[in-house]
Amino acid sequence: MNDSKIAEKHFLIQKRSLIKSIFFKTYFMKHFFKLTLCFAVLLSSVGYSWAQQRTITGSVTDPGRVTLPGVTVIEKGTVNGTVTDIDGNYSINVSAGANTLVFSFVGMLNQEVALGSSSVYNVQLEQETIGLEEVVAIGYGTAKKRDITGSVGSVKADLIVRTNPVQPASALQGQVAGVNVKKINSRPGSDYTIDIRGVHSISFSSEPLVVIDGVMGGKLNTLNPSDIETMDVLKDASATAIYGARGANGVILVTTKKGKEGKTKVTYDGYTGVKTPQIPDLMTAQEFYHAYNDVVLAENPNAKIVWTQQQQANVDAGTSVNWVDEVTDPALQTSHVIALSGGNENSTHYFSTGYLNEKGNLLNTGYERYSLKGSIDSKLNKIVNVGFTSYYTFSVRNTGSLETLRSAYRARPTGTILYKDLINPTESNDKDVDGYAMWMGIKDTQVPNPVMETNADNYLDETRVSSFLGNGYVELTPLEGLSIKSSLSASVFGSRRGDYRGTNTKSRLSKLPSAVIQNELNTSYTWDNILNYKIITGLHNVNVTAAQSALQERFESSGIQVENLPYNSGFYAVNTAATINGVESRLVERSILSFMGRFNYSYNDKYLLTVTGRYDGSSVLAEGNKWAFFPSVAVAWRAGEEDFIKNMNLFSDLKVRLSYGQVGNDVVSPYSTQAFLSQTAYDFDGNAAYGYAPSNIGNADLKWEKSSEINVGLDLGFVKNRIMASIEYYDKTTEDLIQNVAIPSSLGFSAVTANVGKIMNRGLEVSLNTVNIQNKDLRWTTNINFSTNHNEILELYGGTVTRDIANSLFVGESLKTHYYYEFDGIWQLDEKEEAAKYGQISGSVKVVDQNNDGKISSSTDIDDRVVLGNELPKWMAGINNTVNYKNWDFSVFVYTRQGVMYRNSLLSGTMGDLASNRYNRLNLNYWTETNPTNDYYGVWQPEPYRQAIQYMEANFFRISNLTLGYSLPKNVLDRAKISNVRFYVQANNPFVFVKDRIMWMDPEYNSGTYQDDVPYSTYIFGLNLTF
Amino acid sequence: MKKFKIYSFILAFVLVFMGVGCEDFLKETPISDITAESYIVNESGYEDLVKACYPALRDIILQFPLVLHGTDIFQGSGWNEKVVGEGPALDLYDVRYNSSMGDLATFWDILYKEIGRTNSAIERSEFIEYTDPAKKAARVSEAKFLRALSYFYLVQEWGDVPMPLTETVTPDQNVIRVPSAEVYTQILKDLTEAEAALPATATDYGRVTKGAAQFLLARVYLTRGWNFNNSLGGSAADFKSALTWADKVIAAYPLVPQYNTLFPKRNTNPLNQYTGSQNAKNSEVVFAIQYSTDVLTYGNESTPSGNPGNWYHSIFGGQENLVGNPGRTNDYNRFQPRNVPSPAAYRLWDPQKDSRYKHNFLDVIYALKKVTDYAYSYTDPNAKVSYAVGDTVAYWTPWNMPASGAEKGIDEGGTKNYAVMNLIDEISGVPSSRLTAFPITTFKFWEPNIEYGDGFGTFDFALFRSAEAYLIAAEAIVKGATGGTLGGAEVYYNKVLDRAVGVGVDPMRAKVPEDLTSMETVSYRATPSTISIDMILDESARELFGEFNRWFDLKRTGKLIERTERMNFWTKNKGTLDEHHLLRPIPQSEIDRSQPAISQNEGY
Repeated sequence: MNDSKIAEKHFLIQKRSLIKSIFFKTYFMKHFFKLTLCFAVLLSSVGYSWAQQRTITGSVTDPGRVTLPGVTVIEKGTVNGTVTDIDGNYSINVSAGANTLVFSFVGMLNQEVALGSSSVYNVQLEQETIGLEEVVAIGYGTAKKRDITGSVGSVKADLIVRTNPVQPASALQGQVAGVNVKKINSRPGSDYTIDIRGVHSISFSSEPLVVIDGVMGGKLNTLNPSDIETMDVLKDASATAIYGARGANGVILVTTKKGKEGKTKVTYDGYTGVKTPQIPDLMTAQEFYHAYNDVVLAENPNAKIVWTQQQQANVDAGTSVNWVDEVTDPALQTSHVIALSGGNENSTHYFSTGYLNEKGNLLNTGYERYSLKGSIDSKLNKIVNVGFTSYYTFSVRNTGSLETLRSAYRARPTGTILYKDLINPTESNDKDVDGYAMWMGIKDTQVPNPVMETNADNYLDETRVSSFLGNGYVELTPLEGLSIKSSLSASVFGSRRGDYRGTNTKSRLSKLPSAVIQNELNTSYTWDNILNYKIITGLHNVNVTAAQSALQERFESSGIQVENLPYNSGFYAVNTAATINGVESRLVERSILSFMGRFNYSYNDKYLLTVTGRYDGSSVLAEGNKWAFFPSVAVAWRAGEEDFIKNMNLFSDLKVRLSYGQVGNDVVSPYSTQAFLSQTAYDFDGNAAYGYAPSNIGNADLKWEKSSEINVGLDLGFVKNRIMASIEYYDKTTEDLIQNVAIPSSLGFSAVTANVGKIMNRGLEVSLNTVNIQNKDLRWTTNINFSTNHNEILELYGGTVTRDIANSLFVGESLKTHYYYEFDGIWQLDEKEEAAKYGQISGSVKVVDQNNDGKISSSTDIDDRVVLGNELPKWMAGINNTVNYKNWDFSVFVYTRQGVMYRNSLLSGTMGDLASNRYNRLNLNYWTETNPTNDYYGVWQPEPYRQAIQYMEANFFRISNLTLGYSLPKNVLDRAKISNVRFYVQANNPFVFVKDRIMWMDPEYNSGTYQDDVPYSTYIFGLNLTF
Repeated sequence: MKKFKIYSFILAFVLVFMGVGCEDFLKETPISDITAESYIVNESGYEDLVKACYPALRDIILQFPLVLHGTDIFQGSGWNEKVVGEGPALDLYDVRYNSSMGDLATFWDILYKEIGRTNSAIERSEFIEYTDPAKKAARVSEAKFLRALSYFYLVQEWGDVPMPLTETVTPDQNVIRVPSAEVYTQILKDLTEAEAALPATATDYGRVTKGAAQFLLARVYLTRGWNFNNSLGGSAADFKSALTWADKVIAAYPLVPQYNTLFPKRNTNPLNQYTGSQNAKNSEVVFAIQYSTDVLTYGNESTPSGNPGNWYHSIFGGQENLVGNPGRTNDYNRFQPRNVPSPAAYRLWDPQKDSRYKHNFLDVIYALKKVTDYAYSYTDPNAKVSYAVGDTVAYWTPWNMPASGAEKGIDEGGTKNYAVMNLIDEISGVPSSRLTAFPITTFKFWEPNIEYGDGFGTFDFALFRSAEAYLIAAEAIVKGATGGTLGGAEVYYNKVLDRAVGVGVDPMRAKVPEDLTSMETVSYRATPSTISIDMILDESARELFGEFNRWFDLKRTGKLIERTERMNFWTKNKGTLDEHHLLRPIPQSEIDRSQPAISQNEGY
């Protein structure tokens, strides 16, 4: 970088900090005392009562005139309130000037009653018509569900915490039609992948944009699920267009909890449970011995397989070691959250603190998270509102050694755990490590005793993450209907990963310890200025939003790798190491500048129109391609409000929606448009000779990926909205896909980033919510969501090519397609001659000779490989049933995903490789001369097409959650001055149904086996308390 | 009015922000990374670009499967007669020997990556000014040499290949295979230009020198002279050129007196290991790939972590699991049988007279720790043996002196309390007891005092040494070249042999190497009447055993099929090697990525 650039950069930084300092000094400093004062007043107001001058009494009933106990009654604008007793009666003392009472109850609409001179007010609450009045976030604003024109799905707080997820993403699974949430692995604290309405990018992630309290690009897994009020999923292009360039993958708007006006409420939610591990069905010592001794010897009496004396003795004694069982245990999962919220008409607050501990089933692994949240929203005067949120989470994740599971899967069951149990340690060159036999009496130096590896003093892989999200805003409402809001948000994400490997680990063995330490510091700031103006004149209702947003992100990383540490110092004294293997540091920056507007118009509450546009500029794209405009338009007709529909007496709600929009995706990594040099290392006669060589081909033409989407929606309500259905059809085309195109390596490079393709995603989504039974004691509701997706590549490389075998991309097929020879069973004994024609033997994998030319070939024109399937689900469904009976509640949640094919990692790894006698295997039904199965190839006959057997359907059907809860009756609670106490027991993932269980650890994802933990079910006992 | 103060503040705020300017806000200024346009602009930047052309050499010599396997003397895995399962594809030349073999794409990709870098260096030199023009000419010539070397490997393995000669700045999927003859013309052009401009001694030891270019010219001319399938544009005159260039190399790079000084110093008994320093530099080395002890510079690019250093010292197999071995330690280092000698290969040496046999193989293994009452028998649990540290635990007899009766180990009814293994026994593949292990350890490149690991050798790998120049000269003369400085082909040949066996000594090899039962022998000293291509190939097998050239030598001389079918265990027993295998299949990935798909070699 030349001097003028440095100076320019320095100037920018100064300018930015100047802006910030002006902002903070001139505004926040001025109001700091006011804010502090509000805070103090709030706290002191807890339990404080105002002067009492008047008593109001009455009873509260539901529409069926059944009395309602536990209804909250509040004097409006104060914290003064009470609840109705067991007979639905209340009595409240109010100030002389009081003019309104607010009645609220779960499942009912809030009702305000103006106070006159009477002292008795009997109130009948209206049933809440599910959803329609619900307010959902739509990006830079909110809207009532009835006014929504696009496709938006919402998950509320009670559903988010229902299954006690560790990560918020898993709460979305099966809850919103069209949202596919997948586990990455089963380790504690693991992340999930999410895609909305299919996969839209070839080389890059299809992860949706996450917006946390208005801050773009947040990380869902830094949040404690119980701090989330709602997650609103914007699905179609008209809904996401307000996020323009980053909306193509859908948007998840997360709104964290805020204080509510009313008496201060303290809640405690806690649970403790156990995760029970599921162990794969591996061969026992005797089965293993049989497979590699008896079977092989039967075919070839001269082959002798060498077993140590120790192994022979174990086999003969009938003992067997299940090494996976040895390194796993049932594990604890517990969480505790305390939250405090409340406020008055001028100010509301919310504070929460949470602790989560999720142990892994693998010994000595786990995830702990602490969270702390505080927010205050204050009305300083009629014009100025201010607010502040700060959210901090800290987590420690310990994943243990990668080798533990790998060694446990590999270690032969014919081994011996403890050193003292070895007959003759010298035959296997065994070593006593903390009492364990290092080589287990097996004499295979690739696999040391896995139990030894679980010792945290031997091996530690720990990641600490500290994440802060802060937001401050000032909102002015100078005129009726006009609001101007400026919001500044900052996010700081710091992580440190340390990896220490001691002498008694597989990766070091007899060598001195090694350590790696990596640090990451990601910061971003977002500044949004939003203007909103609402006018209602007669039947016309206009709502205009204009906003401007600037986002800058910065990713910094550094790390060092060392080995030969003199003593066990973890990764905290890398300076003492004899050898430094690598050091690096890096900075990546990106920024986006945006201007957007939205125009909502409704006429007579029946005809709705939304027009949105966003103009985005991104730093990562090439000069001249940085800016793009993303428009959308949507219309809706609330036909249910028309008299002729009303007269049909069929629909309680009917709405038709139609939208079209364009959105973008700037997933390309920063600096992709430029060609860089990478450092190379060599030496001349021992003297370092570092060089620099071009590392990639730059692409100065990179531009946005663009998606266009049509969405047709139909919302239906029947029987006073006790049955509500929503049906959506979408058709989305994404073009100018940014892809790392594999290019002929004779060019000197193997890939280049380019805009090359076009994909289509098309699907149908159905959501159905029904209240099946509702009476005084019993309420049974069902929520079903179902979605299909059809993914298809429409064009590759600008239309010149229809098949790109190297990247497994085919026009007319889906992304993530598997292209290989088709499995056709096993060559049997009576097919010996036929097999020989193909150069194969009985017991080996038979594949289909597609063109019947007597040759299995991958050459052009005579290619026998075909598209076998793909990894994208054809359809998914989630079904939730909830039954409330008196004080009991019961729910069951079923989830299914269909049409997914993976190349099964269990089989492609060592556990499916029957060809070598080195490592243990799954207990597979393999071919022998006496067992002529077509399930799996023979012990020695894997090649050349064993891979064909590994492509399998991973369809499953799962009972994801069973919960049974009991709430204490109101009369008991009243005596204890507690408003709610609920106990529950819960089972998560207790049953999964999949075609061939032994082939799958967990069909939800294609486990990388050893870079994982084992799958598990969780059984929980929990308590919810509200004071 | 406070209200207006706030408004004006916000207005100011917005204006200040907009003043930063959209374009400035969105400008990308990478800090961690540097571009060619900003860095390769002067002498120091260009020096770094040329240095970046060297590391690929380390990756190139890791492509030993396509150079050693499936030949007469090396195989990809061990051998035994009663084998279960199948041998490696590269030895069986079977249905799996196809365009999807991973080794193909790896070698192909590395060579073209190197060509890409050298193209950048050659093309960008035009815009660089050096204070010393000779230095610049030398640097450009280094790049030309490395480009020629890469194309030479490519054209030998694959025949007609794509031949980009400029830096790739825009991707183009239209790939054109250039006829082999044109590739040879380009190689010779680069080498001739380089030879003229390179200094005899490089500024840094390890850089390309004039001698390296001369050596490669000799080999390229020799290869073109054979004119594979009449496709290389070669002629008889090429043999004359080969001889001329070889003579220049021979004159400038005298042989060292002792064969074993070319390789790391070590003792075959780890209890008495050599711990002094190593020196790879000697008069015979024409061009060597550099390694050092510096972990930050000894990496291989294709395997950036885990497998750095010179692998050759640890990839020729060995006996990890013998009794009395403490396991994975640096005593015998890693036992990676990636290149296993064929059974016939051992029988090419005179084990007693040829010093190279003793250097190449480790025939005795010692107990490195005390062993008490080891139950060695599969059948009799009471049959036990104990060893003190330093006792022999295994011994492999030379092929021409098999042991029997009392000379055998106790596990086979003999008197020796360790396993005694004959070559002929190993072929059975059946261990007779827990004492047995197959086969004998190949120890040629082994380097002591290297911490146990996955490679980590620090001794330079001599890619060209003058001993081979003698054999090139001998071959050129057999093919009709005249005017050799030293005399006839047998003179060149015997010069190499003399060093190994002593001047005038008559060493004896197995007359029929492939018949393990035959003890018939024949001399391998050359006379004007006996010198032949086969004799030279036998000698290069002995002299250059495991060095990076076997497949190329066999292919060039048209002997690959005949010799491999005779001597390689797998090819001999089950192989389907034929003419089409003389060109490797173009990697499937290259075919799949090119548009339109480039043609495959015949037969695949």
